[in-house]
Amino acid sequence: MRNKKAILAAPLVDFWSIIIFIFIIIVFYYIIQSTVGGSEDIKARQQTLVTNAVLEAYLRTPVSVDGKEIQMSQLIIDAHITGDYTKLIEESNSITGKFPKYGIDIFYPDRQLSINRAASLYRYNQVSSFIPAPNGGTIKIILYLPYD
Amino acid sequence: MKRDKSAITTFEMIYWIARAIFLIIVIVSVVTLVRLCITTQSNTEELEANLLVNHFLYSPDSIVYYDEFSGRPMLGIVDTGRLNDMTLDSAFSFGDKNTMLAAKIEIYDFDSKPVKFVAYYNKPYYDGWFPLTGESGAGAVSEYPFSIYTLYSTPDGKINKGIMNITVLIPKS
Repeated sequence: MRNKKAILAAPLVDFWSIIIFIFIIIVFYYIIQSTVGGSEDIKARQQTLVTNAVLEAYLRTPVSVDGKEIQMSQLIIDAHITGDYTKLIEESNSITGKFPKYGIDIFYPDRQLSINRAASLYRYNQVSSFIPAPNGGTIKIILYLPYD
Repeated sequence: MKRDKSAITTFEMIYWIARAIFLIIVIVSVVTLVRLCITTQSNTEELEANLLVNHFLYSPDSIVYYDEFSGRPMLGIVDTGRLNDMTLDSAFSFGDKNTMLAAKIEIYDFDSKPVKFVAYYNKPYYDGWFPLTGESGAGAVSEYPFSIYTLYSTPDGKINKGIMNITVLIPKS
């Protein structure tokens, strides 16, 4: 009779031991995941510095407009004033053409311009800069760069 | 009664096999988890390569174009007048014998392919280590290439669009 009781209790003990074991594995998995996240964070911060230098270069890029040399940041403002974004898109495309993983978004107060939308697949790292818009508000420029 | 006893024994034997398998799974899992948690070797090579590149891009003592009027380094613009081995070596000094890092910086014009400017950081070691890249094991050298959009200044003060390729070499210890 006692033996029969023990036979019935044993599967219960085993069942709970499996449940507890799975629970411990899940807890450890999350602990390890959080440690890995830390090293990824360092990598992302490192890459942000490179992305920032690239954005600075982009905004300072010399552009020839009607025989006059201006910077890309000025062209961004001029395009908003005139409403003609052709030159801005053309110049930006020439950069993303050589660096296909770079993506640029320009947010005007009333519209958004996206250069190289395909880069959105790699949007791991981004830096932004602001330029005052001529008729109030700000123009936000975002550069996307994947980290390897 | 006898039949019952033998059935129980058989059942228990099968049951113990399942338990033994579970015990093996537990042991393997615990060993794996412990091995994952204990870091015996940390690889900081990539971090070191990134730090060196960031130093080249940001430090006013390095190759970045420095505006003396405002006293600010103009990020994103490389001063080609300063792009030489001597400037790079003095910008990031590890003493007389630097066995930790070496690098090559090449600047291409944006539209044409030929290299416009080249400079080396720790050139003697770069030349010695470069043939060892791609090998594995101790004594081999890790290669970290970077390709960055940049602007560069010419001696006449003009700013042009360019592509900067930086190759960082770090020996494996």
